Amino acid sequence: MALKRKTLVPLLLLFSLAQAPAAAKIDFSGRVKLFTSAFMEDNTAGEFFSHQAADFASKRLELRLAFAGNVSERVAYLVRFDAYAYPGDRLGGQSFPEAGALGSAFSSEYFELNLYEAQVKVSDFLVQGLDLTLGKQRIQWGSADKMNVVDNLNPIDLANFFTFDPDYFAERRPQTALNFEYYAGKTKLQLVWLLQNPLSPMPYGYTALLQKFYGLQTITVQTYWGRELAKTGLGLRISRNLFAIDLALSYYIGNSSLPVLRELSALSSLEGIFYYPRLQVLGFDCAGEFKGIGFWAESALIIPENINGRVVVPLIVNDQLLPAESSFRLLEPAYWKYVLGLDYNFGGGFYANLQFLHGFFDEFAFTTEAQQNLGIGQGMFFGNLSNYLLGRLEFKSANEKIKLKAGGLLEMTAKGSAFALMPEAEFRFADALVMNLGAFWPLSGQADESKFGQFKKDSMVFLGLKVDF
Amino acid sequence: MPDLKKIILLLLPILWLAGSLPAADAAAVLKAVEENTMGAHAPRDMEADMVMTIQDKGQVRIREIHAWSRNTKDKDDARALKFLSPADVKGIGFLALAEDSMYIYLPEFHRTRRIASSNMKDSFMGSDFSYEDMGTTAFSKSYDPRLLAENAQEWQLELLRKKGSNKPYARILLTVSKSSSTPTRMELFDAAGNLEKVAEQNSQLTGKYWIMARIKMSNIKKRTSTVLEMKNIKVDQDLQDEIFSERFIKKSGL
Repeated sequence: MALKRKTLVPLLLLFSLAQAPAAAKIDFSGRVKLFTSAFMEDNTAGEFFSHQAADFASKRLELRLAFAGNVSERVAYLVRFDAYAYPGDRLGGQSFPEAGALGSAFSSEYFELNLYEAQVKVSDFLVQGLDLTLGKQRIQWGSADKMNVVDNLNPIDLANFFTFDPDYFAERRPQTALNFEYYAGKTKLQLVWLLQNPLSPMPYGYTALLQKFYGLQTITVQTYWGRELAKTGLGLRISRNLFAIDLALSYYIGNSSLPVLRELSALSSLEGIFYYPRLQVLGFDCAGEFKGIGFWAESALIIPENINGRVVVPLIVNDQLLPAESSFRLLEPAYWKYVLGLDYNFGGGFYANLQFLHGFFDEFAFTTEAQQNLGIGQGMFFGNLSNYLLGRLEFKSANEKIKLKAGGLLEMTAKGSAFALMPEAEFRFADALVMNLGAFWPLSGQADESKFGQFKKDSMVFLGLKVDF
Repeated sequence: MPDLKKIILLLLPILWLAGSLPAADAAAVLKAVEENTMGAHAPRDMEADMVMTIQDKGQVRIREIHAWSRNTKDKDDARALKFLSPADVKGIGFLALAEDSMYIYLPEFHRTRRIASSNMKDSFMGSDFSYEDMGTTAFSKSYDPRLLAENAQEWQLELLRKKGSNKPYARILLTVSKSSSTPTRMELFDAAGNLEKVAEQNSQLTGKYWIMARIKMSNIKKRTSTVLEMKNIKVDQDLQDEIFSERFIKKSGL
């Protein structure tokens, strides 16, 4: 009987797919994009970046190819590949730019290919109103404008966050999952089973940078999961429109997609142990409007697993080096993250958007003992919860061929604050041909006071050019 | 004195045009327009392909949209749009369930976002239409009508925005065809009294309904214009509730 139950669902799915006629029209689309940025000032001893003025900060050619279509009236698919090439050489080291064994110029023409999405969606799966999306997909979770605190299913893409490419600002990575969405009138019930443990990709070279930042000789990364099904993530969300407001309650159990510093050991060398804790997240989100002003809010009550932090230092006792260990609760038993947002269109092409955020993606609520022993506080990566104000004013002109944006981010910590301006101009020369010119311009903040203050000497300008087809 | 007589004689037709007709007639004309565009003589629902041609200082840009709308007494008015081209907007979905309940679906991020009604002031896909212009023609809710002129073919109404209304145009000069009781021309004025846009409309008889098949919106200030044409119009199909849902605008294809 148990076997029957286990095999029933996949069999029904296969049956659904088998009902489909031969593949119909394939909808093919894509994008070619060049993104380059350059530093505006010298910072040869930077916290994260080391450069001189007019050095390239990033340089990337991107090709996106997507195929979508309907296998039948109820079954649709989408596959998207993202390919990246590095335009330029990186010659140096102990060898010439040799080709691969098959003759490809892989070491002089860097190229990476990523299966960004691959999903099949079955509408009215088993029952009317139930949609199943399986495969690698971006799961919709929450109501805020990108700063979703309830969304722990799609990890934040920190690798692209620090390119300051506006297309990737606070974007999240699709995950391989089974996503059931049941629609009953104005109510929607969603159940997501992640077939993987979500992990946020870090920028290239980040481990070495973090070592330098904490003064660590070695870094160890620990997880609580292995290959057990029971330790993958699960999400449940119920949403409904009530009194013209979209309301939702959600629950997530699974790992944090970003790690915490759990242990410091200074015996033979200074070692830092980072750990991806298990979380339960009770979420609430809503969106609506009042007198033409759009509003949204999300709050997440985060209940992390009870884990201990540890600090091991050598003590000299009777001329002998002995380890002295202190152990303490690492994270608060429960804590809140939340975001509140407003937007308004003034007409004449002017639009404003403002969000207040408590708790950035990488932040946790550490106990006082953990803060004292591990030296963790606000204004650090993987640090304690801080407050942020994010805003942007947009102006569109010439039938949307020109869009000017004045974006800004204010970080507020107990020690100080940091403010960065993110201006951008977008020019649409023709349909589907867009050029972006912009900057990441930290105006205030200190490295020891705030997270974004660490980039104070890393101001950069960027140029993006993209064509959709 | 003779000069004064001349002036009065000259002014008489203008005064007659400006307001000598009773307001009840203007209201009746406006009611007839609304009956045809959104009332008892309008289709319960409609599905059509829309082609939008934007002419901007010698440059021509084309947008294609598939649209569904519902206008029934027992249910809220609703509209759903799917953008078909150009490539950078393909797949975007728009859903308006009420004036304060609108959603946009962004396929790149597989995300549906609620948008506030203040965004109705925004340009619709870079055209000379705003989202508001693409909405229903429920003038009488927001405007007081006055009959300005009449000839054998047309009525001309002046619509003045009611106090408290948040409609973008302070004054509208509306020309209505007597044969079809549908608008043929609208001159849209801003709060300062400046002519902002002119809409020239052609309606066609589809089955038993007069349907607006082509509309040219000229932006006087920007000197640009957009022509919106409706093709493959289907009416009274009893479109299901599911079409006017977040689930539907997220679906790929049609």
